[in-house]
Amino acid sequence: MIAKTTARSSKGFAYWLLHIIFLITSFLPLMSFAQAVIVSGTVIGADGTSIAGVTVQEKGTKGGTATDASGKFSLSVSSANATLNISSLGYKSQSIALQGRSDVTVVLEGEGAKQLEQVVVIGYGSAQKKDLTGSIVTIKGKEIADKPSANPLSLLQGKVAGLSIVNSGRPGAEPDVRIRGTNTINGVKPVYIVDGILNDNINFLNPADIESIEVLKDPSSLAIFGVRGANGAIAITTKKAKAGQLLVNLNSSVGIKKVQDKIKLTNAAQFKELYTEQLANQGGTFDYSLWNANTNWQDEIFQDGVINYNNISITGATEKNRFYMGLGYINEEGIIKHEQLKKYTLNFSDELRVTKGLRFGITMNAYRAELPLPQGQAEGAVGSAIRAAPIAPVLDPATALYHTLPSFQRAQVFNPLVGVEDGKNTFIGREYRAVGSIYGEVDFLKNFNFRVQLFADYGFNTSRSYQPIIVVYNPEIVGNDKRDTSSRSTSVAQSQDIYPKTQMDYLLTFKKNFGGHNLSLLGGVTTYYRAFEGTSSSVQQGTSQIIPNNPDKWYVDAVGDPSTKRGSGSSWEDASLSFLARALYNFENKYLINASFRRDGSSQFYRLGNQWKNFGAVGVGWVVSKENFFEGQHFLDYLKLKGSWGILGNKNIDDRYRYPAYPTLTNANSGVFGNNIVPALEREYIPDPNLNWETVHSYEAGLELNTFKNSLHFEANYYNKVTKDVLTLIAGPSGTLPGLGNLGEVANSGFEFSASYNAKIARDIDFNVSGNFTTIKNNVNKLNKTGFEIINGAARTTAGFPIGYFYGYVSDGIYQSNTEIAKSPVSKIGIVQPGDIKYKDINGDGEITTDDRTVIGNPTPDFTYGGSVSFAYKGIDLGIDMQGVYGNEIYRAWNQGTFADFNYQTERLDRWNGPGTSNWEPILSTKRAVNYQNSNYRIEDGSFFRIRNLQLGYTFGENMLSKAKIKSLRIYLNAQNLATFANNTGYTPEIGGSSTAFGVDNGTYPVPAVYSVGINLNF
Amino acid sequence: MKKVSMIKWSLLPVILFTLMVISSCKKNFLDRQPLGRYIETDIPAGSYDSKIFATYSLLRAGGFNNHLYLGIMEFRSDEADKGSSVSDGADQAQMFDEFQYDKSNGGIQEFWTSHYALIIAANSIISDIDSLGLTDPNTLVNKAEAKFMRAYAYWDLVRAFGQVPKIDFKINDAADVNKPKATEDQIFTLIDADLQEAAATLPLTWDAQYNSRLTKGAAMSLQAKAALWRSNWAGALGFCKQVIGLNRYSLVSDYGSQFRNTGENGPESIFEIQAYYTPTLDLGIQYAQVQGVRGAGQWDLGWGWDVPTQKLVDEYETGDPRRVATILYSGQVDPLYGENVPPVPTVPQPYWNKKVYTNPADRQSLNNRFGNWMDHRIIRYADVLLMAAEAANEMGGAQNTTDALAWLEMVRARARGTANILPAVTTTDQTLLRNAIRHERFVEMAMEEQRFYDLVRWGIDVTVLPVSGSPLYQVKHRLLPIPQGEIDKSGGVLKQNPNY
Repeated sequence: MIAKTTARSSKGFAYWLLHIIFLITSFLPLMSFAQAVIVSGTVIGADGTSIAGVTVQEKGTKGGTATDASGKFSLSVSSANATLNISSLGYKSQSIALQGRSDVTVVLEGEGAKQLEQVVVIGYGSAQKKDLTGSIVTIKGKEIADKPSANPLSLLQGKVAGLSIVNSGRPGAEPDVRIRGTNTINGVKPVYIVDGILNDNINFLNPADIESIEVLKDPSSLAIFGVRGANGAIAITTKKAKAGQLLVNLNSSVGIKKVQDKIKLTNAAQFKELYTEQLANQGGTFDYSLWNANTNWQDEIFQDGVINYNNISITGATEKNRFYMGLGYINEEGIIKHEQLKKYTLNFSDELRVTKGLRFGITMNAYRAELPLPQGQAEGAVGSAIRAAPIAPVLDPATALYHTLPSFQRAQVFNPLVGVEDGKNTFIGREYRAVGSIYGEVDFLKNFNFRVQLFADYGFNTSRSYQPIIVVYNPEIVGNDKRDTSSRSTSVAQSQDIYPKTQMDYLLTFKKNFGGHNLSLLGGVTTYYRAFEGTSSSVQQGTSQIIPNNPDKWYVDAVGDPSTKRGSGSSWEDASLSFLARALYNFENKYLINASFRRDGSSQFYRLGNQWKNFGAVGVGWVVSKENFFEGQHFLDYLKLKGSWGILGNKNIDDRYRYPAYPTLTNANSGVFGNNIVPALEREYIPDPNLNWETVHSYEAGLELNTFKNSLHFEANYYNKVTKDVLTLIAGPSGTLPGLGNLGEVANSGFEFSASYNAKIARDIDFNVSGNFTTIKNNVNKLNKTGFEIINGAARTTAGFPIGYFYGYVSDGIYQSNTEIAKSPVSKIGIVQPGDIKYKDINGDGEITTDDRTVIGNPTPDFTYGGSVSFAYKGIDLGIDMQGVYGNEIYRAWNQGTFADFNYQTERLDRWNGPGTSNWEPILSTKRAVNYQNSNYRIEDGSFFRIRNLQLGYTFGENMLSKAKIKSLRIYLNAQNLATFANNTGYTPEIGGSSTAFGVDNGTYPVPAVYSVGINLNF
Repeated sequence: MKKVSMIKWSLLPVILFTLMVISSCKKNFLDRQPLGRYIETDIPAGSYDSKIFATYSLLRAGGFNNHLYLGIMEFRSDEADKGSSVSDGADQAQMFDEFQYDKSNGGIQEFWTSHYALIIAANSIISDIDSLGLTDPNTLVNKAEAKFMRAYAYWDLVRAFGQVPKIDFKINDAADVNKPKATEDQIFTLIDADLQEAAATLPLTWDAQYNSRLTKGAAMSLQAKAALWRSNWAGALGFCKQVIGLNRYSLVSDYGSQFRNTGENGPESIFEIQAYYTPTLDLGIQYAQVQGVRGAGQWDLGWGWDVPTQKLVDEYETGDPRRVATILYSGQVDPLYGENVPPVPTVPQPYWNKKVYTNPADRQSLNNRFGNWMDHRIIRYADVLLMAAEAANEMGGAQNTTDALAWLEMVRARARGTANILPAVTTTDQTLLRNAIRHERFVEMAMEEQRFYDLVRWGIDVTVLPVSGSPLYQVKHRLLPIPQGEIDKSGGVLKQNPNY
């Protein structure tokens, strides 16, 4: 599959390399060693816990082993006086002279030092964190593997300063991820790099297969990604085998999801009271005689969802070959009845060392998902449940048909169960994904390394859906037959989409250390190609037979009326070719310089001749603690000052503008003359001949320090980013075609702080506390011409204001009487009556006009924070993660409409219905348009604090396990989203969205609490 | 070691080969054209048909047909109310029936946007044809169609808002649209010039394939309407006489038949917005759907907006068949298709607009109750005859009075048929005849979006509307506020209408 989808230019090579790899792999002999002296031992950290996967080698030989999960190793050495080299990623290497001992205990240096020695993934390579001038945060796989989520990204919430994750509660849904603020009015997603492959999402990964996640935030780390670096990068390294014996790991958890904070809505009696009053205010009445139920629609559609995550992995390594295979199965029910996601994952990697200097490898991530209800259907069910009148029964008992809703909302709101129950199992969506790479790497001429890697990502999605005949019970139908056919005819739709991507990297690295100078150079060429091809078709029942409600029939073949068959297809592609270079230099690990450069060519602007664009960054660092004058003091163990500056690019633009340089024509609309249809062509948008990518000019300055004997680690950064030439779609005034131009400028700045502290409180008690804190200040500096705004309901984007701020009137209470109206500024926005919202005269001109609208909220928080505390006592571990945001607002939009009458929030029980009854909730009347203006009446506080995870685990002692041939066993209990302290009325304060409209509550799907129990077993 | 270096060296050619492949395809690697899409260079020069067809499709937009379009055109009059249930869209009733204008009303925004979208599409065609200097007959007809479209859109805008920005050039930078308002005279100068060219160039008829495409008659009729609006009686009379003189149009014998699906594009139709709907191809409009009976089950024919008022029902003379052709009564068996319309309060309104009432057989065969296939009639021949009569009577003089009476009688005679009703009007008194013509216009053109602007141009809106259920109506309500969204987007360039 990989070879097949590799871009045309490299097919030959890909085949060639694949053949070599498989050939050599299949001849792999099982290795055996001559035994001389056996030495065994344990490797532990400074905190006394064992460390797995540490490489143990006899000095001067090539052989070696690795510690197992309990930190133990056993190695045959040539003599009892041999010397062992002990090394592991992120720890200080040690040499131990055996001096006749056959059992040794090795202590590797503690947490603080570990952070400094840590090897982190940077673009197109890796480096030691101490050599870098940027800000890269690493999250270990084990921190997320035992937390329940089908999407690994959602587990990063609250863990990294500067990384904002807004989760959705839908099974497997991708969260809204932003790094260091909202850069642009276009796409704000970071780029994901999975084992070197640039990607748009990591939905295809199983959290249990992740070794580590690196979050890259600053210009010196990101410039190497060029036109894709502007929004930051998240690099994922999947698990690979470490040297050592065969290891089998089993990770399994099961749990339950619950909706915790339902929206408080009126019950039937309260609804009748309010609705009767509303109609009286509007001059009408409603006959409730057919509508006497008391239905809680939220309870009707929600369920406790069951989740089950399983992963089994097998790793094995010899001197020549390293092998990892992980198999995962995730079954996650949603909180809406019949909502279910199933996900199967396979992660495979193998590296063959032909010689010390020549290596080949293959990685492969495969995924198959059975998708839950489409997003629209799930959100539609929630939307209906909060809007449906409680006076309607769920079912008509006699006919067993779902009951329709009252006439005042029937046209806009459906009985939520019609969608949930009649629409259940009418959608079959499958996603298949294979993401793989093959690479070859050769070390030559001492200092050089050349690496070729070919990546292919092949996504294939299929779906089939069925529209059943839906009959509901409607008591208002005249006559005896009360059946109301709301969907009158069956139909079937089928679609297939293909998403191929290929990436080729050719990287040459040069590393040399001489006389205190340490230099690492990288040069390379990379190409990237991605495309889409989709076809879909549908057929309707028409004049034919009903299409059966049986999935076997849901193909657009010979069911339905052939004359109703329709098909469509679409495709797009883009490509880029890039040249990159990087230098990492330091002198005596004291003075650091990082520089990188990338020249990107993009197919999108080829026609305009603007295809080439250069990006780059420079970073400097000074490790003050290495200076002589620092010696002799014992307070600071480590201090590094750092700063970087660079220019990055952003190529995420609206999917509609895949060919921004071409004025494509659509034939979506046809002219009609009588019964003749003639195709028409329209320009989709007006292209600008000077279009180019957005660039982000950014810098950061910060420091890292360790103190209290390396037990406290602290980092602080100031970041500042200005996105220039923001691609702005001008949905022009007066119905003009949209235009696209480089017309905006957006600035983000703030501080990030993070700290962690490790200590041993008592002999057996380890204690760790960590926290992070980020401030965000966002401002749109410029947007097209003066006065131009992007308006999205209440959310606006205007020069001089934060992106997507909320704009409207400010409530100054409720007009209590005509006397008060007479005394107040004259309302020019509409006639006001007692009970209406009294808007504030912001500009003080004595009139309420549209000029009195102002900023009423900002969806971007002032700051976000996260923290965790953990204890370990003997085998018991207890951890708690918390996170929160502060200072943002939510705009409540779901009940702003007036076309239908919705159920009321219980807040409406306190409405104004006579002088002195309320000074906030206006009169009940949809006639009073003045109360439905965008105003701070609909603004809610978006700040919240959440206990994200509470986890209790127990690791069994070895004595108990060794009898059962088990290497390690841990069981754990986890509660996720245990409690959320929020002030808004919706299900969740976490409301994502697009870059220019987020934090708008349109009836957001709840984020449930998840309680799970799990087991992690190694044998 | 020897083996190792062999492997090493065997890798080198591979690397070189790959680099060669890369560099050889580099030139084309970045050259990617849109897949499966036309780009402008794919359209043969000189063919503007496909672009002009797109302007016809723009006429199907909500702002030309939907419930809020009807708010502007109909609810404001004394012949129709918002309708539906009391609470459904109560704010729209407040806006358009009770004249408490809300600048942020979505309806005026949609109306504005839809109309300017048509103007901008038309401008692009006109400008392209002009800049290439194309003079072949087919292209000149395309240009004339575009000019009609632009004039039609401005005609709606200038009546609704008064002064509006005059955009009569191709937009290359969307920001170019941001213009201050032009005077009504400037807008009318553009409308007159556009229609003059359209009337001169458009064909009298089209062959069957395009039977409802814009014609000379449509342009002349719109010229007449625009002249009448400005009380330019001589001009209006002249244009009406030209339309009559084309000898192309005639009154259908059964008044009601022309509003049915089967009566679309008949001999009386001068211009109608075309709708087409099948279960697999929806090129329909919402015009009938938003006005359909708001009931349950098989009587869920739509949203039930825009319903006739009692005043309209009472306006008909005894026995006038146009009443039952215009009003669909709740709680009665309707004679047309024999359907039993549910009574109030099972449905919320006593009267519905029967001109959009669909044939149950069509609903069955199209598997849709909402009438999206029903055309929207814009100009009918009866309208032209009544305009001619009005203009002639206002001009005065014996010949004109005789002509006026004759045209009036044509309309009444058709309604009368062979029955002994609707006696011929014979008065030659200008005032009495004026009243007779105004009455005739009210009933003949009922629910066809004429009444409000008729009242305005006759100047009697301020006396009629306050006693017809809209006590707050004042002169200022003739003009709608400019949508707040447009004011906001313009950054101060566009100024709100006075009094708002």
